[in-house]
Amino acid sequence: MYSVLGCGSNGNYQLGISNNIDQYNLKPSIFNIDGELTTSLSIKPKIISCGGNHTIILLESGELYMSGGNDKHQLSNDDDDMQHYDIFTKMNSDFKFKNVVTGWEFSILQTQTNELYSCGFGPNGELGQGKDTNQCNDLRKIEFQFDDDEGEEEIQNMYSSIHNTIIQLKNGELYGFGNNKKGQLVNLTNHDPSLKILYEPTKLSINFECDKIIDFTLCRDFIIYKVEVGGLIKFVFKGKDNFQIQENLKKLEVIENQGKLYSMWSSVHLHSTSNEIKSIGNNSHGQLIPNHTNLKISAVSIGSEHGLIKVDNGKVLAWGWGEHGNCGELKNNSVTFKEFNTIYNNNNDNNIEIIDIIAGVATSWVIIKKMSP
Amino acid sequence: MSEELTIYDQIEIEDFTFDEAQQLFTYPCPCGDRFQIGLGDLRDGEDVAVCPSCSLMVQVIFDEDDLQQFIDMIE
Repeated sequence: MYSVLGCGSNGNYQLGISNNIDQYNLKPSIFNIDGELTTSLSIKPKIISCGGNHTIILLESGELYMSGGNDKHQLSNDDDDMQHYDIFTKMNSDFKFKNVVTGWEFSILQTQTNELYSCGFGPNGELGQGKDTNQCNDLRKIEFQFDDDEGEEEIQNMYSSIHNTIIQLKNGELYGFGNNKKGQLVNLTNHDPSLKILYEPTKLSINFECDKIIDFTLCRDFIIYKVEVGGLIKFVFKGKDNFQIQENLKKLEVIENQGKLYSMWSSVHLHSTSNEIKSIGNNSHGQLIPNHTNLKISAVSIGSEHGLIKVDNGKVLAWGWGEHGNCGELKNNSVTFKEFNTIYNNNNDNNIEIIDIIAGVATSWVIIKKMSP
Repeated sequence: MSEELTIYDQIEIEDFTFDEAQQLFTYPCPCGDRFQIGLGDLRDGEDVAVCPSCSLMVQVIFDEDDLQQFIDMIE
């Protein structure tokens, strides 16, 4: 059986534990499964996606369970005038889903038949529904035309920040929509305000001659692409740079063992294949990862302004800004965790396996599997 | 909270949402709530928006000229 454990910011019931009090220790999420309340799931949770104040959990069966703020219908269910869901409740939908991303007050869902739907509030084009639609109370299909005739079955993945989304196709092409006020999706031209918001999925060009885009990550006001040029790795930065990120990324290009990019809202983190994490950007609240030379990191997840790592296969450590309990109990009355804090430890119990870790908007999540004794 | 009086980030005024009724500018905070500052505060030269739910603060980047469109809206 599986359990989802969460802690941190909970003012809108986003932890799904039936109260709206911030939690400084992990608490099991409560699910309403066919009218029965339970903290054990027989179906494995595949994705936990955390919006500003709402949480959507996709099970491997393709069902969606959701908790938290619904004041903008970011959890859909039009016929239901719920301002929030206080425990994880199944989305009323005939669809089965394969992927979900969430932003500040919106959700983007991909069905198993490869259609895209959005719901919620998107004043900056976040819904991808065109200029006239900034509110969808119920799931609405996102219509968009690809350059080729392969159609929507070519969607490989989706990524979102709090106010924009990128769709990645299997052929490598990228389509984006939402907030482009900093030119993070497409280049802004002088005195043309029309490009500041992309209301519909728009083919992206990174305006950089490269062989292929290997990886990318969406921060709040910038996007970083990792590309290959003649066998060399380069980083392409687009958007607003308050923290000398572009300059510092250049220093990383020479490093071997390039790995995967992750982002907080104002910093970027590169998890190398040699198991080291390099952090660049805003360090106002300990966001840059502490020394970890002696740790065996087996998973990474990065939230709004804090991060999580799984180590030794049985522990989850947090660092960064933890004011709402997302990094565990506060220490020395400080909201900043400049050193790692252990938020989960299975104490070498071989019957408990950590399936995944997820860092959200000042929330932290651990999915565990309990083996039958 | 002790050391957290530092400004967390700088945010341009174009990124804020303006509520005409409340004459209030808001912007997402990484805690899930919103940074806020009043139009009147900006006119008085204040530039630090605070979050009602946590200790984080952002500095609003704006020119005095930027405020006119919002003043026009409410008058």
